[in-house]
Amino acid sequence: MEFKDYYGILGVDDTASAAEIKTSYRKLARKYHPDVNKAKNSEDKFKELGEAYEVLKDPEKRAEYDQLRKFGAAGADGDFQPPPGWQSAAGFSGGGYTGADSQHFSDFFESIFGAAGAASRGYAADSEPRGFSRRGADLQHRISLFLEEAHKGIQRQIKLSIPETDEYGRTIAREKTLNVKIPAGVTAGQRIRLAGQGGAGIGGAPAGDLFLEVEFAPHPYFSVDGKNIILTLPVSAPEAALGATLSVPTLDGNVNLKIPKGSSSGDKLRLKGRGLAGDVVGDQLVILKVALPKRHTEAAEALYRQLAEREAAFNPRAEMPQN
Amino acid sequence: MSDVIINAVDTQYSSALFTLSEVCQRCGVHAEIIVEMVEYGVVKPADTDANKRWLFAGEALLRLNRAQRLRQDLELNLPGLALSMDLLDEIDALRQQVVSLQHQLQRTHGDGNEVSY
Repeated sequence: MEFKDYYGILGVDDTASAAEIKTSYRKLARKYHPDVNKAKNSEDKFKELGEAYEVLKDPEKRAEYDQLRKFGAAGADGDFQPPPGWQSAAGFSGGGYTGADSQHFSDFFESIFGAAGAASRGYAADSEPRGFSRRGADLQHRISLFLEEAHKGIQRQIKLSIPETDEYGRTIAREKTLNVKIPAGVTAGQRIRLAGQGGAGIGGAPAGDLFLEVEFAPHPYFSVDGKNIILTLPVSAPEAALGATLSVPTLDGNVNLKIPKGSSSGDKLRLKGRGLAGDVVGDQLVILKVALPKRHTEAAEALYRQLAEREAAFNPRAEMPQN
Repeated sequence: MSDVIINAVDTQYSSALFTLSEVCQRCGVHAEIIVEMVEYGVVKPADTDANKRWLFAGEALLRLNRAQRLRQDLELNLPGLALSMDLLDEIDALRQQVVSLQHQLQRTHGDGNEVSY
């Protein structure tokens, strides 16, 4: 078992005062709270902080931890085992939701201070009165969709792990596969509720709900703004200058789009009702981008020189200071 | 643990609404806390029933859970909680916007040459 460096986790010296430990814990708890920090490992990090603080905030536990750290600690291979006959005097009694939610504490913690969550110690079991029942937890799961899938709706298989309480009161993860039908026209950030597919209830109480949070996978040429689809469309200089009818992709296949004569880079053309489907249908915005070949033929360059002479009056930098 | 295949095709989507007592039950909090959270604008009822009682959307449940976790874990008072939730919402919206704008920028300028002098 790995020896946990609680001081390192809380970012304090082993000589830190109780006040310093508290301040550091509070600061890190704010930073890594899974409801604040979007990073994937923030939940583990937050639990680790809670465990470290649970030990270091309590003078008795801290003293025991310090003792083990000094004498009982790591074997040659870095593997930690508490000394034979080790028994904590500090013990452990569960408390609030976070700091002392012992079910999430590591084996390392349990080997020193006891497993509060395990039925053999009876804490969790004793604290729950007979006939106790509690509705299962509502769970959240991210689902990444391609724009085409969100637009048309799709049936998708998702695998997730659902926390459940076994007969000993321990939390275990159960793998579950769901076939989910995503309705057409969902948007990024939207949550789809699947009733009764969350965590299992305790004592005959109903299961919680599962919320699927939709996110869009990046698309090779479309961007999204709410229900609108944005497409940057490269056009050649003659197409921009003379106008053209071009075939452009939309989520429902290609459509013909008329580029007006005299267009410039950045000009926007709106295809009404060609955005994401749904109760409110979005538009597709086409933003033009004039693209030139890296090399012109000599003949083309000659034509450009001719063009420059003919359009000498045109100054594209008229709004900038002139020398 | 074995896989369980559940066909959720006909499962109801986010349209269901919940009364205050259902919300209390589901979130495991007292009604007073929810009333206060509504007063501070942390959550908003989606509708009212015939007796003018609040009805909450499924989303409000998630939001309340999140608010409740933040309140307990970070020892926030209600004004602090309301401010945090507002700021977190704003950060979410801005993040989405940044991603969308970055994409667009990439499309418009991404393949351009860079020349140094």
